[in-house]
Parts: sequence; structure tokens; C-alpha cells
Amino acid sequence: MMRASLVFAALLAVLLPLSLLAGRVWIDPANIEDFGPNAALILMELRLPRAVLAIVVGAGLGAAGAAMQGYLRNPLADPGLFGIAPMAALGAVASFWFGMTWSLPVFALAGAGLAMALLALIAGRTSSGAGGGLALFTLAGLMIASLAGALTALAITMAPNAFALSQIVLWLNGALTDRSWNEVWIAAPLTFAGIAVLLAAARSLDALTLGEDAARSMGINPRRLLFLLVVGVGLSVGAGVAVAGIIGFVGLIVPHLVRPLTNRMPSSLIVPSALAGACLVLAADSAVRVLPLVTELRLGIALSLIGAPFFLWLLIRMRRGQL
Amino acid sequence: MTLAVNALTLNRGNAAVLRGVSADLEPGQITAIVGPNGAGKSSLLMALAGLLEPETGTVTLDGRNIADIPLRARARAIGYLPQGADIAWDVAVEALAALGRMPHGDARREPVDAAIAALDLDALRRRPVSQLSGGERARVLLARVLAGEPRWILADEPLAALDLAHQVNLAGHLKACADAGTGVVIVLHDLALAMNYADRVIVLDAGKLSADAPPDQALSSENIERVWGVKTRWATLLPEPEGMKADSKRNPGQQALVTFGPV
Repeated sequence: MMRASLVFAALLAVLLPLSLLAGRVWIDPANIEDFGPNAALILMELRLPRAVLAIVVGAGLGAAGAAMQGYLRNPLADPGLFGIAPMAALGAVASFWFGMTWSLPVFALAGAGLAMALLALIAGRTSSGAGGGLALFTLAGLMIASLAGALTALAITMAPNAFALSQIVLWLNGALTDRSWNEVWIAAPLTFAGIAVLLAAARSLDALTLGEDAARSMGINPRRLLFLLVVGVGLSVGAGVAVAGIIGFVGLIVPHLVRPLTNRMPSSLIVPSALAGACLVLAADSAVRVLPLVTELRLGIALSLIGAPFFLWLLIRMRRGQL
Repeated sequence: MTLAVNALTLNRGNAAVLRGVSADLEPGQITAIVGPNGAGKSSLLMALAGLLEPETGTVTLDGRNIADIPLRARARAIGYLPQGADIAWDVAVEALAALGRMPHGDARREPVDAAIAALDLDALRRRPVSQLSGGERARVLLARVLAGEPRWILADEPLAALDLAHQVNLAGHLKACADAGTGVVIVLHDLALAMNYADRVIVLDAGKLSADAPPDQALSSENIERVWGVKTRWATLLPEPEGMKADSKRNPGQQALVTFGPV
């Protein structure tokens, strides 16, 4: 865990200054005076908050992905499986629908909170102690996700006007464009609280390596673990969606990048996955800024373009039994 | 220091899997739970580990209802080894065995090292579990339980799917644990293993206690015929191989079960 954390922390330390300099206007650190007072403005009010937000969102997604894979004992699990991200997105879509975009993060967080409450309610009924609760709960999360997806699609087809429609569709492909320190102050505390909750569940996730029954025999309370997971993933993913929209694949991919550098126990993945997630989103967001396209490529689309082929490669590797 | 079930009735779904089972288990012994498929062996073991909630009746550890014992304290007292080797991540032998310390909340090396040494896994410490044979895997999983230094070891079919050498080896380890004062309760399918290694045998038949006695009584030919519906005789295989004495500790009897087909 230490090695992996150091590797990704070092990478982040290299990426962050690069990201601050990169963009439509490249800032040359040697001749920063040439840019006049604008350089400081661009750096402090545009690029720094955007970079910090990329780090926060990526860290939340990475940690949540590592925890979800550990909890579901499956390397193909993704934080989206619980339905928290789609519900948060639905909340955000609702704010566009009602023309209340100024309160978008509040709507999105309310969506995430609703998903968490639903999950907690279902969890209370399914994890009664006997086995099989986990599969049932995962299916329940999937149902919440598909319900949120259906309602989002409904909102799109019945959008009140063309402007709201384009806003919704654009927003659903997550991005970090034009974000300010306000978004950072919303997302950072919630995300880091979520990661802290996931860390509290880390050792219990290790016990799950041997299956649900063995974990329970080792003193793990499955209900407590489930609540920690729902709250931890809810906070870290919900906050990310609230400020950046849907950014897929990070939670799925990152633990796979980290795993070979650790002892492969779920607890050893969470911190390095947070750092690696931060690196990935920061790098991708810097890349979409400098790509010579007519309009800036949406971050969510860019990550899906990277993520889908990676996922296929992963499936093929799994078939060969190399995971 | 006893683990006991009193008038235990257990349902899974709508089906009754155990009906009015009572037994006081003793530490320092190997108790084998045997019975036909679906007799409730695994369910009884899980109930003893506190993992299944009884419909009626109680499971007690040292006279205390197991449901009232805090989870961590229960986990320190009882090590449970489920059936089959289901390991989600490709972790190394050492890391897996170290999970046994979880109920204690410490990372003490000595019990983990002792468990690894006891199961002859020293050479494999850093090997990922995907590169282990079935027998090695079974030993690692048992090492995890031993690393927790439990007073009770409850193991579901720990010897199944092992080759002869590993069976004898692992059974020997369990015997050594029992000799050191640990209570060992194992579910077995192989009646000859139960006959030769157990100090006591509990026979379950369709969720009911059919026999609870020393192996030669519990596994008498009459009982086997009644419960399994197969005619059998126990044969004592002698003479011993040259230079090999029957080891009263490791392998107290050399009884073989000869079958004569269904009744």
C-alpha cells in the first residue's frame, strides 16, 4: 500500500503543475511576466480550482471503485452499481428541468441522498444475517440505477425547452469546464468524508476475501459494513456527480492499475486508488483542454473512450485467468 | 469450556433443516458430524459458529447464549472454516493467513508464523493463491483459522478434494490441535476418516440426531444401514506395513469400510 501510494502521489506531484500550465493558453513558467496580470488570474481562478476539483472527483471515484470491488468481491464492479451516481444525475437533471440550475449541486446531492436512503432501507430488509443478502442488495442497486436512468431519459424526452434539453445532455457527459472554487468547497469536504468512511470499512472488506460466511465468522457485522459502504460511496461519488456530472470508468479502471503494486487486499487499495483516480481525472481533464478540437471534448466522453477499450482488454485478460 | 446445542430447530427458507438437535461438545476432542446429503451437517456447523439463527433452541458457548456474545469475542473463540476454497483476490499465502488475526485486532506475527509452519507452508509464504494446488489452498485456509488461535475449530469438509497424503496430513494437524486442548468439530463425508480420526461422531439423518457416540458405536454397521441404506462391514486391515507401527495419536485405527451395496 505504501509503495503504491508513493508512486501515485509522486505522479500527482508531477501532473499538478503540468496541468496548471496546460490549456488553450500555455503558460511558460520561465516567462510568466509576459502574460501580465492575466497569468495569475488564469492560474488562481480558472486552472487551480479546476485541477483541485479533478483531484477531488478522481479521488472519490477511485476510492469508491476500490471499495465496491472489494465489497462485491468482483474486479468488474463499479461505484455506479449501487445506483448512487445515476440518482445524483437524475437530481441534477431535475434542476435543469425546473430551471433551477443555480441549485444544481443541491439537487444532485439530494438525489444521491435519496439513493442512499433507499439502499439503506433495502439493506435493512435483506442483510438479515443469512447468506445471499449481497446478491439481492446488488440487484436492488441495479434496479435503482435503471429506474434513475429511465426517469432521466423521460426528463430528456419531455424537456420543457430546447435550451434545457441541450443543457441536460451536455451535463450528463461530465466535465470540469468553468468550475470555480465554489464547486471545490462543495465537493471536497463531502468526498474526503466519504473516503474516510470507506477507510473505516477497509479491514472488513479484507475479511470478505474469504466469502460472506467466513467474514461473519471473523467478527464482521455485515449490516454495519453495508451501511459504511453506502455512506462512503454515496458521499464520495454523490459529491463528484454533483459538481462534475457523470464521469464513468474511473472507479472501474483505477483499482486494476493499483492492484499489481499492492498485496491485492481490498484495504491496501483504497488510498492508492484515490491517488490514482486523482491522477487519471487530472490527466484526462488536462488532455481534453489541449486537444486541438473545435469545442472542448467532454471529460466524461474522453474517459469513456479510454475506458471502454480498457474494459474489453480486462475481460480478455480475465478469460485467460491472469487476474 | 463447552460448546453446546440444546433442542435446536433451524429453518432455511420454509424447509426445516434441523429438528430438535441437542449435543454437548467437548474441547480436546475431534467431533465428526456425518450424515447423508441434506441431513443438515453444514447447517449444524454454521449454527455452532453462530452464523445461523435458530428457530427454537439455543447454541451456548461456556453456558452463554452465542447470540449474546459480541461478534469479535465470538470470532476469537471460534474459528470457522467454510466448505470449498473461495478466495476472491489473488493474495499471497502470508497475507491470507494473517487475516486470522482480524478478530484480535492485532497484527502479531508469531501466531501467523506458527500456523504457517504447522501446515508446512513456509516455502510458499509469498506465493499468490492462484498458483497453489488444491491441497496447498486447503492448508492455507486452515492456517488462517489456526492463526486466530481459537479455542474451537469448526471446519466444513476440510479433507474433501484432498489427495491421500494431504488428507492424512491435515487430519494429523487437526488431531494435534485437539491434543493441545482445542475443540475440533468437522463435517465429514468419508465415514472411514470419521471412524479413524474422530473421538466422537454425531450422525444426522434428515435434520434429526440419529447417533452421538464414540465412532465404533455411532458408525456401527446397523446404524450405517439405517441412515444411509447401505449394507457395510468394518474391516481391520492388518498386518501393518514393515517397520510401521499403528500410530495411536496420529491414526488410531486402520478401519476400512467395505460396502455390499444398497439394502
